[in-house]
Amino acid sequence: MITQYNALASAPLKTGSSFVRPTQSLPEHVKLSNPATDVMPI
Amino acid sequence: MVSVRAKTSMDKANAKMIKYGVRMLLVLDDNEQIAGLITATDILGEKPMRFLQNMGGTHADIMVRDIMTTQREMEVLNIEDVRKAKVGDIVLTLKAADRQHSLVASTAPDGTQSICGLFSITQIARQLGAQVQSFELARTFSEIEAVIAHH
Repeated sequence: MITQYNALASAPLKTGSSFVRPTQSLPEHVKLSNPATDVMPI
Repeated sequence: MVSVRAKTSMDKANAKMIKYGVRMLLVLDDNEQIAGLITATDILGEKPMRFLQNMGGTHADIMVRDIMTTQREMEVLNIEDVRKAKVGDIVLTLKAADRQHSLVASTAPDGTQSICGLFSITQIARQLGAQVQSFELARTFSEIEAVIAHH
C-alpha cells in the first residue's frame, strides 16, 4: 500500500536554471514499486 | 516537456497546452533560462481576473509572465533522490504537497541547475491503470488509491 513509501523533499529552484530535452519513452503500465523514472516524461 | 516564452499571450499558452495535451508549460526567458511555470489552473482560475482588476486592459492583453508562478516560487526534486525512488514515493510526494506536478532538477558540479524531468499525477494515474475522469486533484488521488486497492 501507499503507506510504505516516503515523500521526497523539494528545494527552491536556483536562479539561472535551464532545462534539458532528452527523449525517453515511458512504459504503458507501472506499479507503485516501479522506479520513479518510469513515470517521468522529460 | 513543453515550454513557452514569458512574453507569449495567455491565450496562445492555453492553445499550446491543448495542442500538446498538457496542463503545464515551462516558461523560458529570452536567454533560454527558466522564468517560471504556468498551469491550466493559472489560466482558467482567478489569476487573469485579478490581474485585470489590478492592471486594467483586456483578456487578450494578459501575458504568461503576468500570471505564471515565478522561478523564485518554484520548488524542485533532486534527480539523485528520484533515481533512488519508486513510483509510490512520487505519488506520496505529490499528495503530501497537494500538487498536480513536480519538476525534477539536476545540479552540475559548478552548482548550476537544469530541469531534467517532470512528474504529473494525471500521467502517473494513467500508467497505474486508473481511469482519470477529471483534473480535480483529490479525485485523481482517489482513483489511484482505488486501483492500488485492487492490485
